Amino acid sequence: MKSKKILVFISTLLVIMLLSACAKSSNSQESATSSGEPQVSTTASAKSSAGSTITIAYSQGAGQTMDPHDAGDLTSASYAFALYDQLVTSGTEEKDGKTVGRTDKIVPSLAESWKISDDLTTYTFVLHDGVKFQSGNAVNADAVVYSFERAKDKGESGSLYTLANIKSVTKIDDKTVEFKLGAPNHLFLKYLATFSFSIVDPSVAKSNPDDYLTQHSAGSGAFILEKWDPATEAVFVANKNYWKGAPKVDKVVIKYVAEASNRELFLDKGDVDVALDIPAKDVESLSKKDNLTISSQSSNRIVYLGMNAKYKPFDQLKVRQAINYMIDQQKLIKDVAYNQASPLKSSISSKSPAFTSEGYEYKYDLDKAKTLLKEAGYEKGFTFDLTVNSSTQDYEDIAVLLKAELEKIGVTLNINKVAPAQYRELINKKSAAAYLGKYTSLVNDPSYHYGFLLDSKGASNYTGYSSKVVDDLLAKANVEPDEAKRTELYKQVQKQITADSPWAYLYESNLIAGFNKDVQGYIFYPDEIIRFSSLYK
Amino acid sequence: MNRAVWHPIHAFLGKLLQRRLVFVGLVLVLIWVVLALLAPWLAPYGPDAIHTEDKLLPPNAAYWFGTDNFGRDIFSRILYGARVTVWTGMVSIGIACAVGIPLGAIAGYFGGKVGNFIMRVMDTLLAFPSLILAMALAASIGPGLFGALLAVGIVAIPEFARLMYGQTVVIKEKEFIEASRAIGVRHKSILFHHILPNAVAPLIVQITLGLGSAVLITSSLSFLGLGVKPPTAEWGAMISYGRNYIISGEWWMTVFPGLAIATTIFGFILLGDGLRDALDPHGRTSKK
Repeated sequence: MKSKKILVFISTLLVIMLLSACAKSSNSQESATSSGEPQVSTTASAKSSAGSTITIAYSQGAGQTMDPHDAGDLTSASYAFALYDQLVTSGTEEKDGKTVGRTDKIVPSLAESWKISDDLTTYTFVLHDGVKFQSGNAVNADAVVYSFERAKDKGESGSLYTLANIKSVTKIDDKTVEFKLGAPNHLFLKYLATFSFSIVDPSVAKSNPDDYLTQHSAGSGAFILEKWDPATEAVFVANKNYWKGAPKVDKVVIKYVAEASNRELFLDKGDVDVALDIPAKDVESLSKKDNLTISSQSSNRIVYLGMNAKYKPFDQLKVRQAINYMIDQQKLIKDVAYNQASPLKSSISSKSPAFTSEGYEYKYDLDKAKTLLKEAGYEKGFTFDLTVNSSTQDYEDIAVLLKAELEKIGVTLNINKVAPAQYRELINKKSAAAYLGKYTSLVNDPSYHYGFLLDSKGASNYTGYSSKVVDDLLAKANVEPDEAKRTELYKQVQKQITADSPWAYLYESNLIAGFNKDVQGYIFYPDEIIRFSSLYK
Repeated sequence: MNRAVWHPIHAFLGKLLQRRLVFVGLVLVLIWVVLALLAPWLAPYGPDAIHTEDKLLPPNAAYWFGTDNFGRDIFSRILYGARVTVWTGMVSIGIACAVGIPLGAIAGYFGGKVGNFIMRVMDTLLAFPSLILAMALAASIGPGLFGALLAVGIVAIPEFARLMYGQTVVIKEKEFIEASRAIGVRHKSILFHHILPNAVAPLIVQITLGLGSAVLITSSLSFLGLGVKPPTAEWGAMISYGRNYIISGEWWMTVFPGLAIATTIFGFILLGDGLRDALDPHGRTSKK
């Protein structure tokens, strides 16, 4: 612990020195734009020279990788989708004249067709003809087998590999691959469509050190990595020979701009074409501008307040219920999310299959909350710490509002606002009595969602919720091939969880991105990962 | 005895208040201290009272400095913020004095290896810009008011140590110290009764100026998220919070706390400068 603190101390010093060094060089640099931001002035000049470049401002740059099998955050995931293909992929649908991504609809990609055995444990894929990696090598059965071997050994994709219960991946002939599963799994195709199971070029991956792919690309995807500096930008050039047809832009440039107001300024001035993570409060004012389009769509993201039953007084159901009765979802949606959110009435997003709001009877009710606390023996209230991640302003805002509400029933909420790394450490160790959490299921299905979040062995079960009933229902649903029966089981799961109230549901938040009017072809996917290949201007 | 003391103080006060700017500084500091003390009675609303129906209102008759995104009254929050500021300033400079002055006195009086060691450690601390050192310290202690207090205090230690060291080295060569030693007065007694009282004047100047920079560093730490925990009303944290609202036009969320910080620091600096001039025995600077 002591050495850690010293480490934090030293690294903070180093970071600050680095930062100050950057500031110096930026001063000496001649700045072309009036904003005086050197990064953007280079973008502007790059834009005028290249015909069609799309510049996207991301909110985060640090901590990611180009390796699809190591990717765990949304930024890295978007790179993986740009650089690599998977055997199958998410479909799209036309809705109100717009193309919308459907992560629950699977369509062929590298595999043009597949057969599933009657016992649902053997999948045989036939690969598309004539697909080549960016290196010129063919995408064949060997490449698929190698990629899955590699995925199995990596941290992020390895856990999905285990979850998918893959027993073996075998080459039948050059164009055919057979997967054997330990048990039937209705999600298997959806798993294959995730970035974690990207197909990498074995000739490149094998002839280089293991971490080569962290900073280089070796895929068959629509883009090739040109250069990458995790602190400032990443540049992707179009793969002109892309087998699904070359992308309509020559280049995609990613800029990392941490400050939300800077992203908005750059977008408004045209220094960037797309800006991600636009704060909800600015949606209304930005939407009025003629040069911008703001996309605000509900994703799979849920925001909740987790309460750990290991800590007093949350061991009492009545206390957890009382907190639930103090949540005014409409108020949070209006005052924190500026109406860019919708109510959350279950432990899973309403976009998910099998969603039901049945059993959710909570509504803001001060008297009921007081009565419940009295019954639980906390008539005078209690004090607790709410752990909040400092990465997003919204969570602090929620906490401030909740604190004011809970004061009315004598409960003192201390806001423990911590840096992202510290937040993850706290909730991973389940040492936060209460925390504000969010979750976006990459695979839009209750099996995946609950497998992580509320199964007693779930990797993201930060409240330590453990219910025999729920565990049994989930295990039963996982191997239930009939969709109607499965849906019924998942509805029971939701009802049980809502009754146990390990969480207080807050809202489902929208994914908000801003575009300049000339940018076309944006397809929104509920997994929140942006795909570059459809963009053009 | 009484009259003998009275006279120099009287002269000193006269000298001090002759300067208009010093007077301005003193008034600014006093205003903020009084506002901080009387905040609960003066503030029209509670610092954390939420009125969401009145959110993001520009300054008006009901909310003199406007409201923030929860409808909290900026004016009330600034008044309560003054308490945090005055409190952190006093405690952190208190820490710095309590540690820095004895260290400097010991190093200066005894010298030798110990003195050398103490002063080299102080030099090392001084080598870092104070804000950067404070950030690193606050980050390793962990966020919260306590961490910020301690960080600001530690950062100010070497300044006091060095000042005291210099004073002690000069004073200990004076005849009256030599005389004391000759008649066998103990070291402790010499340090407390002879050296310290003679070094008080520059220390007071340093404390005044130190308070100014303590206010600035605490606000900076809070701005960076290393200071107070939300929703505590603190000027730096208020600016940090309001900066997301600058482009959407809600300037009052940043301007008023900014002015509060500026006037406080300005006050301390004017006062400190004036004190230095007034306490200067040679009276070098007698400008108005």
